[in-house]
Amino acid sequence: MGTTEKIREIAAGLLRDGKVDVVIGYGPGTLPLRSTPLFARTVEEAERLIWDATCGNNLAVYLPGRKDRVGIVVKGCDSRAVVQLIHENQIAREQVFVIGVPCAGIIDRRQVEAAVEREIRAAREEGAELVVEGDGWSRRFNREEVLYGACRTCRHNNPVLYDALAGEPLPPRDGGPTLVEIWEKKPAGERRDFILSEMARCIRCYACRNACPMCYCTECFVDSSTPRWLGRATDAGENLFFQIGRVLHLAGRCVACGACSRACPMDIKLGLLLGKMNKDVLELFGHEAGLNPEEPPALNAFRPDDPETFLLGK
Amino acid sequence: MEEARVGVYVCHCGGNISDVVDVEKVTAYAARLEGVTVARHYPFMCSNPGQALIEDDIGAGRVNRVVVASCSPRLHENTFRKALARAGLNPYLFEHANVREQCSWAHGSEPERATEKAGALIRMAVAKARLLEPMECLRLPVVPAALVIGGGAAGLRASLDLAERGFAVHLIEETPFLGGRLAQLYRVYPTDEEALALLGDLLGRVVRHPRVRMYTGTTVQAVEGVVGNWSVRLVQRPRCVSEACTSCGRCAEACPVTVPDAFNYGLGTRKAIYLPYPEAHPPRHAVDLEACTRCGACTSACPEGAVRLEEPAREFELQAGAIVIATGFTPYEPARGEYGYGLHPNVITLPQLVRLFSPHGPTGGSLRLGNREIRNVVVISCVGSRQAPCNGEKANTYCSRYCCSAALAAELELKRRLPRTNVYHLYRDIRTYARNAETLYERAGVSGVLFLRYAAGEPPVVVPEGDTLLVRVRDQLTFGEEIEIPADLVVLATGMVPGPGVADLAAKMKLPVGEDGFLLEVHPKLRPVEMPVDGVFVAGTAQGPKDLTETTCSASAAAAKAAILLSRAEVERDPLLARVDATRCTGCGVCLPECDYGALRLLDAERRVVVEEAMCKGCGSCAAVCPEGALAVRGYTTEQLAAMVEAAVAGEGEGDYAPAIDRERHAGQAGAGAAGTVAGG
Repeated sequence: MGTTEKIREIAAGLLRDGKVDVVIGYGPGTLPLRSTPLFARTVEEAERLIWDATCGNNLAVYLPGRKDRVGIVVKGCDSRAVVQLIHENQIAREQVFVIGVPCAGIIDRRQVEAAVEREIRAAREEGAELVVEGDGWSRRFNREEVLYGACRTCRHNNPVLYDALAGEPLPPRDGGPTLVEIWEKKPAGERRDFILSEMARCIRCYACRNACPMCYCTECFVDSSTPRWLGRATDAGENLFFQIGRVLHLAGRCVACGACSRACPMDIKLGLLLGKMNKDVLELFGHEAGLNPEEPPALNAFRPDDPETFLLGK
Repeated sequence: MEEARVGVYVCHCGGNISDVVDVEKVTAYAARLEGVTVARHYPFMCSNPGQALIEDDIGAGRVNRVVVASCSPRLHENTFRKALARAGLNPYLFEHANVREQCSWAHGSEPERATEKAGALIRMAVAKARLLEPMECLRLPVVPAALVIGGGAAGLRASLDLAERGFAVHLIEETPFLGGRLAQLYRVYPTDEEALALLGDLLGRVVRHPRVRMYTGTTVQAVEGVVGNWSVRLVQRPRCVSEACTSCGRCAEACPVTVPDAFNYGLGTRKAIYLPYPEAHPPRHAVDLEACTRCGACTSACPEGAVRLEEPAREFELQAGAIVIATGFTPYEPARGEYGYGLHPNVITLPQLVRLFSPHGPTGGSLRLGNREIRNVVVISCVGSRQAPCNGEKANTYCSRYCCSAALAAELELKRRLPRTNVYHLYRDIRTYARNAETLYERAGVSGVLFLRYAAGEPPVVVPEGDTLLVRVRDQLTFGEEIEIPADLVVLATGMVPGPGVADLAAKMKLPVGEDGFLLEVHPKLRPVEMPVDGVFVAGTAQGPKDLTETTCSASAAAAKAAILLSRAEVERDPLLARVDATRCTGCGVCLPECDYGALRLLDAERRVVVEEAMCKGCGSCAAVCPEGALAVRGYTTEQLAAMVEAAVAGEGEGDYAPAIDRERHAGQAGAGAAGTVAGG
């Protein structure tokens, strides 16, 4: 049985038995290489659920503040968001039935589009290959090579929390240097120029924030008028202030799902900023979000024996 | 909200500020700040005419926000809040700029920069003042009962006074018996009355009082709540002897376990089930569970069946409006080898000598050492008191106050009992400051006590010589003569140190202690028995060395202060407490573990946090961690602090300390140029 069928079976069972009010999963998108969130409330609707390498959305974004009982389809990274949201008291563990999916990586639609430079009419996976077709043409890609960068070095391809697993657990990836590790080695000037040029492109649509399951504040600091932290202009400086503010607000909370990068209409490499912050939090505090619900929040816990090396400027 | 009209009042503090800070220049600067309608300076803002300036401006409608630039708010914030209230303005529309401790005193050598800084401090205060909101005090009902911690002289006195005044009193005592150190004394100076007679009189009145409830063997586990509404968790160790006990003593006879008798300061022994002295109260034996082997000999020996070794500890909670701490002192225990202490059995402390006087003491009141008569006694003063700090070690630099008089009284007792015994008193200074205590000094001299004075840096040396001791001292009264005294008995007049429970209690109740380790009152002269935590009072030697007279005075004072509080129907509290913006709170709960006072509660169903104002202390820990900015402390909101920060940096980099930046920025706004009257002192 394929993963899609397995998900449908689990979802239909949950809905039939009245164990959940809704199952949040993926449905087919209206365009190739796209999927869309699907809220199945009946057994019939559950038949429309799918799973493939386009199911990128982190559906945990729909969890904060829910009052009903939810089944939710999650990848490894998404499952960390669920754990973190439970930890942050945004949803109760008893409310959620987690349908875990071992994930072999999500296809970076933009990479494929850039490579073919033509309108794609259809796409399908054939084993290790991705086949895309247009009007009178077709092209094959090695699936692995068109995955999101973060997916290629993913360390949590199996869900860390699930009530049912749709599919067999996948072997861990061997990793290799992450994009952050590569980027970190560049000279400071180059990194600064890169960031500023990226920030200059931001249009402050806040899609990154809205796609992020951890950005659930009822009033975001960018919207606050008393005090007004942020100007309304979209110059590189204000944009950087917004992005750095968001990154810092996610310190110890970001589960590295990449939802912000995928949502960005300007294709800004937000994953680099967040990846760097995640790496620093891991190195400084030994903390990774969404793995251990018992662990106190990295930035709220104080240890009297903290060496506080940053104070000494080392 | 009505537009803010800020009045700025710069105080000279009689030169404390104006000798350094150019107050006229600062006042003129303040007048130009946005939102300021009046700026004045005056020699003493806290004086009646100073406060009247503010009240007049408020009354005339010139100002509706007040900034006073003077001393620390700890000193006069309340003074000025009251002035606002008198003038009909909400007292929380006041902001204090500290230009004395944090400016003129700190920067006395740099008047120009101090003036610049005073301007900046005022600029910040004005920025905050414009955002202040009126607030109302919280009113909390007062529980009309007191908790007295410690059942010695101070605790008993305070309990009796409070009970007589009509309040319920819960008296808790850590040991199984009431009476404290007073029970261990023999006679007290200067009246020479028997300590047990005094104690018996006081104890009898406390015990018979219907409003006093006593809990022995009881210690404080946790204290929660606020002034007027303390909730105290207590644990009572098992006594293992019920009220059926007639203190016949058969249990102690049967008990096979013998331990050093702490009541006699280690002279002699007692059993694991014991009564320290015949009149001890409660008149029931108690089991020392640390020494007890649970052999059951006492259980079978008791004709009343009163001994129950399996009795469990009892945890319970009490509510009280006021807490009186009367935990007392511990006598200084000399280090091993200090004046031969611990090396020779005939080197003892003054408290031990007093136990030897007592008919209930280890020798039944007999003053014999082994089979020998005591011929020569040397008393050394200032042991464990007035120590010079050396090698960075903690030293008791204070005078213990009671020991001179107590030592002289003991010497007189020695001379009375053993007229032929030579008594030598080695002292640094004689401080018989208590009323009528000087006669002890005179009488001791007349009765033949020999006084030798040693220098602080050259204390006497005690050398064991076989059965006896040799004391060497350089006597200043004979101009430095080296004197050797062969002594049968050396008595060390030891001082007082804080009781073992003080540090623990101070930590639990967040009370300050001095360098000496004793509890620190709010002010030694203005509020000598009040602790900085409202509703907590200190009585007796928990506060520092005192003799019995002083202990009784302070206990009665603490009781009187507690009674003032308890007789009120309700207490007012500053409303400067945490507040939750319910629209922002997501109920993540990050704040909950940060609150040391249990003042935050998570409403699970609504996913938001609420503040229990009665418990909140307004410390702001929750506001600091709230990821949503949903928590704030009233009077210190993020908005207000952000305005202060903005005002602080607004003046940076300006050559002249009086930047026009605010005015440029808000050019055209009404009121910007409306600098009001600038009155001189």
